[in-house]
This record gives sequence, structure tokens and C-alpha cells, in this order.
Amino acid sequence: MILLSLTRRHILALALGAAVLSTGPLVSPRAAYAADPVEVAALFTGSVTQGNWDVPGYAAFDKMVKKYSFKPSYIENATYEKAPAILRQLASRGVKMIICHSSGYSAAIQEIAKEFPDTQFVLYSYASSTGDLKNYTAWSLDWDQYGFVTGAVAAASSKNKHIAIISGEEIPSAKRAQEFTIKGAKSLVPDIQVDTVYTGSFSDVAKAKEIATGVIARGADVLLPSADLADVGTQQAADEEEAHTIGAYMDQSPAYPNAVITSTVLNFDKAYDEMGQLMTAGKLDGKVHTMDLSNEGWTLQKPFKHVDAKVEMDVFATMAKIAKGEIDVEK
Amino acid sequence: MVFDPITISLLLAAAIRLGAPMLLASLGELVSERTGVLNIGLEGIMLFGAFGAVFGLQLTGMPYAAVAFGALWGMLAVGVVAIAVASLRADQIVVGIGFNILALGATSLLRDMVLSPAFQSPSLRNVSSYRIPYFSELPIVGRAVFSQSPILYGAVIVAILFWIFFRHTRLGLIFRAVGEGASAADAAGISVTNIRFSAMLVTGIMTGIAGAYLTLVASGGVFVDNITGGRGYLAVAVVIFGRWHPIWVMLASILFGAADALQYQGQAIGLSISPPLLLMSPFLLALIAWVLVGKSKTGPSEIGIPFLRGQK
Repeated sequence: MILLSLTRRHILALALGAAVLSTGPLVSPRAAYAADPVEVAALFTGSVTQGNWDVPGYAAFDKMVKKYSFKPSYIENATYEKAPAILRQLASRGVKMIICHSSGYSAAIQEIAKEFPDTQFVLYSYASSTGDLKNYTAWSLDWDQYGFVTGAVAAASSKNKHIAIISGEEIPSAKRAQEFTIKGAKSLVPDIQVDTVYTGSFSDVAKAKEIATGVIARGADVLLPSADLADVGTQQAADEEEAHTIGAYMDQSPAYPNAVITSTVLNFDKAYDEMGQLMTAGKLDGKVHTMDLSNEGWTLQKPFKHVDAKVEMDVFATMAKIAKGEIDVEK
Repeated sequence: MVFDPITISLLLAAAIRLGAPMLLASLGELVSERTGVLNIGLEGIMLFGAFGAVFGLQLTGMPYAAVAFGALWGMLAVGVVAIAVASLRADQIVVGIGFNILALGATSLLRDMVLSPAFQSPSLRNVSSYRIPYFSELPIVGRAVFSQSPILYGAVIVAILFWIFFRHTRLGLIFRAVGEGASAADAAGISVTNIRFSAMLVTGIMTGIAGAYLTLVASGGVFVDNITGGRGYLAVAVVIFGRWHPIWVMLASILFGAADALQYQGQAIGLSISPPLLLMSPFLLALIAWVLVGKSKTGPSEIGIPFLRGQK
């Protein structure tokens, strides 16, 4: 019995140890430290080597810390519920600027920022306000514009007048994105049919692929992936079933040359460079900096493939009107 | 909402494809459970198998070699669980849960270390689809049932073989005897540890192939973190739903696959049920299965109970 209880304790300890190791955020061994005493950290929801959101975000972060000679560190797999503890830990350690690469960190920043007035908290993605906190500054992408334009691209490219939006979980931002995507699609092709489907997961590639195959069989010929890591499945299905798709956040045409018409390309470099610049000058202002079509916050990859040149012209004309304020996507 | 032939065919095809990883894993789990081992670590083993298959594909460029890699990684992964459960007689639930959490972190780390983000998968057509002559031309069921992956056809054959094994062979009887009464089997001179260890290795191979199916057939050669998405847990429920019978397990996995498929086929055809409600349907089925296990009289009597010589 003694042997048994010891063994059980050992196994419990192993399991608990494994739990701590595997669920804890992974501080990457690749975090390199430069000589500059100003320490800057970044939080990512996933891995910086996987997917299309954290990869270009990390690349922009890396470029910025090198340019401004900051001492960098970054944390992968920093889930939202762990964010307050991570932010508190980093700020207590004396990190001067903490960049959070997802809108989901907003609540954690608002909770922690007031406790650490000497640390600058920065968010990239979406924020409607910074809660009057002087040490919380946000770079907010205009996702309504983004959805509207991608919808317009899909509709203009669809020969069947039938497109599909394949989203991950049914969260408010996803529902809002779908709403503006449909609005954008109907702005160019009023009688377009738009299927909207949730996979219920941001990482289930197989499910996304299965869904994509199904909507293609029903006649959709342009698919809009919006499920993060699972988007690979949608793009694969489009590639295999001779349908088309739109890459998200970075140029994805090299991976699916037969399927990708164009990709949205977010100007991560510009946003991160502004963060570095303002931090160095001590001018981070506690405001929301909007990234949209009028200030090169994002664009579409050119040239478009697999569609007539007119599609590209029409879409860029629409984008120019949005940038000048001639089209208000909110109306 | 229209249930036309295309919709029915798509739903059936999706049910079978989505049920396939659960079928492979649950057939493996069935063998363990028949010997009294409740292997909750199926989710983690499937993750290792999924990773191993893509790693194998990257190394060899050959889809079937990649499947073998998936089976091997599944076997190695289950070896860790088997040492703890069968040899050291640790608590099966605690070890299984701990292993699943470990697998999530370990496969993420391994992906980061050894899988190339720029890896372009070769054609996987020969492992993802085979049209059975004549039958694949049949209306509705042709494409849905007879144009599936050869791995899936293999799983059907394995289900039949497992039924024969447990029903008509002496070794199958020994496996069942260990699950029904380990002490009695031990008294009869049967090595309970060896039988349980062997059964778990079969579980590892089958679950590793399930992971390989998930990445090679269903995901086109891509591995992402947590790609299994709870399928391992569902496979445990499938075994219970299938009443520990290989043929019923096969049908139960298609039922779970159908629940999974209905999630989005329902959304796409405008089924007026809230998407979150549809999304929870496979897990609702799993919950029913777990409730049923408490009332079941057909399951192995000593399931989940570590074997300790001299204790009843």
C-alpha cells in the first residue's frame, strides 16, 4: 500500500506538473535581450510561428524592437483569462511597454493599467475607448471597413452570385464582421446569396474544410474564411474544389495559388513602428489610433488573380471612396 | 430548409468523414475498456498521432508512411499511459486527464521545434479518397459511402475483425475475462498486466491512426495546436454509446459524426435552430453516454479499476 500511495502521489505530481507546464504561457526561449535598458514585451494569443495573425504581428514587433533598440520579450499562448496575471507580472518586473496583440486583452489592460502608471499598455486590433487611462493606448483597425471591402471583393468575384462566410465561434466581433461583409457584398451585387456558417472552433481545420466542401457543393464559389487557424481548411477546400477564397491579414497566395484571389494585408509594421516611435519620444497619449483605408492601416494585395481586371478596379474604386468618406460603411 | 438528395448525400458523406477519427479511436478504446482500462488519455494520444503523421509526411513525403508514423507515435504515447496505468496501477482518470494536458503543450512545443511552417504537403489524394467501382456511382450513397478514404474502409474491416476476435477467439475471451474480473483471471494464471498493456498498445495504434486521418485526410496534411478539438473525449463516449460492441461502436461513431455534420449543414440549409445549440449536439450525445455508463450492465465489470493482486 505504501508503494501504491507513493506511486499515486508521484503520478499526481507529474500530472499537475504537466498541467502547469502545458497550460502556462510559453515564454519563448527565443526571446533575445539587447543591451538597451528599456524593456518592451508583447502578448500573443497563439504561437508566433503558426497561423496568419500572430506571425505577421510578431514580425512587426521584432522589427520595431530592433529599430528602437528595446529589450524585448514576448509571451505566446497568453489566453485572455491569464492576461491579468501576466500583465501584472510583467509590469511588476519593470517592463516599460506591454503590447497586447488582440482586442480580447482590452478588459485585462483596463483592470491592470491603473495599478502600474509607470508602464505603458498598448493594444493592437480593436478598441472603442481606452477608458480615460493615460497609460493605455490602442491601435484600432476599422473592422467594419474591412468586412465591407472583403464582402465586396467576394461578391464581385463570384460567377455564381453565391458566396459563403465561414467563421469560428459565434462571438460579437464575428457577428459584426459578418454583418458588414454581407453589407459590402450587397453594395456591389445586390442579389448576391451569402451563406454564413460557424464552425464553433478557431482551430478545427477538419471541420472548416468539411463545411467549405459542403457550401461549395451547394454552389458557393467564393469563400471568406474568418476562423483563424481553422482558415487553412477553408482555403484547402477552395483549392481542391476549384473555388476561390480571400487570404486574411497577410499575403496567402503562395500557399494556395489556385484559390486565393487576393489577400487583405494589415499594415502591422506601420502600427508597431508608431508604437516604438511614440514610446521613445515619451508621447504615448492614451488614445485610440484608428487604422483604416485613409491612413494605410490596411489594403488588399495586388494584382488580383483568377478574376477579370474589372473586379480589381471596381473594388479599389470602392476602397478609394471609403477612404475619402464618400461611402460610409456604417450606413 | 430543403432535405433534397444533395443535402442528404452531403450530410451522410460529412457524417462518415467526421465520424471516421472517432471510429478509429473508439475501436482502439474498445479494446482497452474490454480489459478494464478506461483510457481518458485518448485526446492526448490522438494529438500525438496527428503530430506524428505530419512529421512523418514532412520526413518521407509518402502519405502511407505518414500514417505509419501516426500509428507509431500513438503507440509511443500510449506507452507512457500504459506504464502508469497497467504497470504502476495509477488512477486511470487522473493519469488520462494529466496526459491530455501534457500532450497539448508537448505537441505545440514539438510543432514549433520540428515542423516547418513553409512545408507544402504533397498530394494526399491516394490516402484521402478511393472510389469503389460500381458502388460509387450509386445515387446519394455512392459518393457519400463508397468514395471515402481507404483508411476508413480499413477501419470497417477492423471493426468486423474485432467483433470476431472478442466473440469467437480464445484470446478475445481472455481479454474480456480480464475486464470482467481481473482477480479471477489472475487466479487462473493470466497476466492481467500484460493483457492490459497489450490492449493499450492496440488503443495507441488505432488512436494514432485516428490522428493521422485527422491531419492527412481531413486537414490536408496540416497540424495546428489542439487540432483534435475534443474528438478523443467524444471517442470515449462513442464506446459507451456503442455498448462496447465493435459494430455498434461503428454505427455510434457515424451518429456522432452526423451530429457534428448537422451543426453546419443545418446552418447552411437554414435549419431554424440556433447555431450554438447545433454546435453542442455531439457533446450532448456524449453527456447522455456518460450518464448511461452509470446504469449500464453491458460494460466490463471492472472498467476503470486498477488491478491489485490480493484485493477484490
